[in-house]
Amino acid sequence: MKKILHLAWTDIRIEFSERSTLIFFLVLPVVFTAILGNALSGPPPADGTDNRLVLLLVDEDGTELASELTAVLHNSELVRPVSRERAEAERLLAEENLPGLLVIPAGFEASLLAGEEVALGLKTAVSDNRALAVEQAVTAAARQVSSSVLAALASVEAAEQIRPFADEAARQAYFSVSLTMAREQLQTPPVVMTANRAVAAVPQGPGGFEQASAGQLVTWVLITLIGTSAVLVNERVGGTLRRLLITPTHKATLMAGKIAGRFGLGLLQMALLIGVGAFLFGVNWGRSPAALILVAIAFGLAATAFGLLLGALARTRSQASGLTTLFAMVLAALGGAWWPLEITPASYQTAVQILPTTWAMKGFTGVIVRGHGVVEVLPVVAVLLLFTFIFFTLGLWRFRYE
Amino acid sequence: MKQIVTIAWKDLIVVFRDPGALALMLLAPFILTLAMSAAFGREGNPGISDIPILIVNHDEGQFGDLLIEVMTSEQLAALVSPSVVDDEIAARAAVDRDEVAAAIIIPAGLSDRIVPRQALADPAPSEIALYLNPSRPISSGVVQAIVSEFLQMVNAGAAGGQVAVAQLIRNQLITMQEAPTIAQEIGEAAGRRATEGRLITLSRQLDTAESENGGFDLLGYMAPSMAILFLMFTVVEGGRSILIERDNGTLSRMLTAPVNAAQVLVGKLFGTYLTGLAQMLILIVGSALIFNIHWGSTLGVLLTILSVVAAAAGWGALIAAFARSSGQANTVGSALALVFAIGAGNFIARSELPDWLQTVSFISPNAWGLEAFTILTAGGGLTELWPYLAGMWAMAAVLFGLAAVAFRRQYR
Repeated sequence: MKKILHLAWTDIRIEFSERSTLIFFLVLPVVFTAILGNALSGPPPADGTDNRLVLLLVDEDGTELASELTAVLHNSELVRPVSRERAEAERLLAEENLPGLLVIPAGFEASLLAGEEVALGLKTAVSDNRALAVEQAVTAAARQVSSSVLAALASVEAAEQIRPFADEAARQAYFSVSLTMAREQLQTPPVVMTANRAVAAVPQGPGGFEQASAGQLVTWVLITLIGTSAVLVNERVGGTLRRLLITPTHKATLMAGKIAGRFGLGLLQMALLIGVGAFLFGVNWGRSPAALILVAIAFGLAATAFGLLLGALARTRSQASGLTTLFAMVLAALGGAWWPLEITPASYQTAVQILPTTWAMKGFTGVIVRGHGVVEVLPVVAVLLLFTFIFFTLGLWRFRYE
Repeated sequence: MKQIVTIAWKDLIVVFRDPGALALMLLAPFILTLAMSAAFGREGNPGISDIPILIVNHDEGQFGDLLIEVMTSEQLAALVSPSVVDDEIAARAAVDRDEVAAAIIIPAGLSDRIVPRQALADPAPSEIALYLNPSRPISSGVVQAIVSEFLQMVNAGAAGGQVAVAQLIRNQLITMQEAPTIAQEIGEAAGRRATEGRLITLSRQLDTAESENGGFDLLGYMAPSMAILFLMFTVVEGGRSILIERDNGTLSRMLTAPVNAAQVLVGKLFGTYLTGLAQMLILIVGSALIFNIHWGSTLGVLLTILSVVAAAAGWGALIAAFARSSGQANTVGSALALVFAIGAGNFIARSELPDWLQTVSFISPNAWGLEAFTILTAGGGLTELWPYLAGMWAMAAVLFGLAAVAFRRQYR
């Protein structure tokens, strides 16, 4: 045991004797988490500066209802309407990389008052999340304006059924009063919605960072641990493994030492990235430390065992290095470390259950988002240990010391 | 010249005979592009569908049923997969177990609160409770949006009924005694009408270039993204091979042959360029054939590939010229490749990056290359493309110039 620990500690020390190790170990994961977390979070909360998406607005109607729609949009949390003339707005959309342009068409109010459907024109320059956010904000504002108009129209129709209006002016006056009353009524609606997240006691960090912090941890620790293959191939190709074998050390001890060193490195990296995620990005990693440690150890073992398997299959340094990068990136991407699996089709979600990264993400996000404790993470830990057993057995079976 | 081509060709053959190098150069970008295609489809729309929902209906009136009708409607059939259950505790437990995205609890007396049969003693609003799954924030957001839209329509209907009756009484069109019956009739009709259609709709269109080419093609973006990312690894490895030859002594052995140091260096760098070129051509042509991506102008694609490989090879040369060891070249080069990739939009769309990062990322060939490929997929021609091609060649000239100065100091 002492020999194993000595070998492991030596490997960790050698790794950190290169200052550049820290780049892959900590610097790049933090940079990736920051950029991806920000991208997944959307606009940050108001902090004095207006970070809402700019929505170019062309009001070709210029009526009271058009102004009401504009006012509702001004209160949106997602968009900041900026009024422009049509030509200027078209130019800005094309040249300034702005997400969208909304046109309130002439006849907007007249159509609504007649109870006719009216279409707002929304032009988006891109097909990304910004365009979807703009569409969502405009739809919500349109719905709010529609509600009071629908209520006022119902009132006008009810009156018309009993006695037709004398003229259009009388109808318009009746509608205006009804609209004012409807707006007041809608201030205190009869039905409301309360939305609670399960495990509401878990304080949440800023949106996309839960996914980014867990996902980047899995990605970069995977690179370190699958890198076990490069370590083993280096030793074999360089002949050091053979030389160590003439010392009074058993083969199994040697292997265990090498693997333990890499595994320890992975655990250290996980601890650092969890600390950075918690303190720098506000991710709630600390809900159940015992559950987190269990998942981290199980994931570390599975990834190290996979590295051993690759180390057994790769014949040259170049092969080991290429396969490490290939498998680390592909496994991380497919397993939901780069994007949340819930946005993928059901068949895709089922297919990726055969990957250890899918289970690792399930375990880590369970602890962060759902506050899972030891009992809840046990199935994930069991599956990861099963992966460990399979990879380890195959790796040892195929491994050659020379 | 012959010596340069021989050295370059030898390096190209060596790389293409190495299965490890091929895995990284060709297999990885193809698999990642395929994975993204399976996850998001061609248009890049999130593949949210069949969101599992449980509905518990405690209401005995029409509006509880109406909400179930909306959730099970043909219109939402692809998006949500609702089941009506009786046990509220079991429904909440299913959310806790991550089996469903949300539970919708419709309260008793909902319909009576919307269309009161008599004056209500307690005018407090009726509350539809959503119990949302935190592990599925996007799906539960969709459920929340659907219920919210339903509520707005129902509340609009209720307000319509109340306003109508108040106005009818005020204008002496009905008497106070008639009010309760008429209010119920109007409220129910208005509620139904409000849920049937929207008064204001949205006509969304994409701006010119994208719409003319059938809209955004995720694969048209991700295929070159992944290709450029792994091109950077290739050029770093190419540059590193110069240092390995130096450290192993093979470089000095080559110099005993009838070639000078400059010819060897140019041959090695040209080899890196050829390798990168072959890699990009295989990936881009392969993507076009396998994924049926329409790149537009063939000449434009060819010029973009020639340019982006030149700019990337420039970075490979610079790293090789300044690195003290092959290990250092590997570390710095790989780190640079990954930083360029995340900063330029190889992993997420460039438009989703902060403006400052989009600008700064033009230090990388990734940003120039991606912009050029985006122009091509959008149907742009050489007129729109040439500033980006010029940018990449300018980058290549500067980087190779700096590398030449550093190499001259080392090998003279």
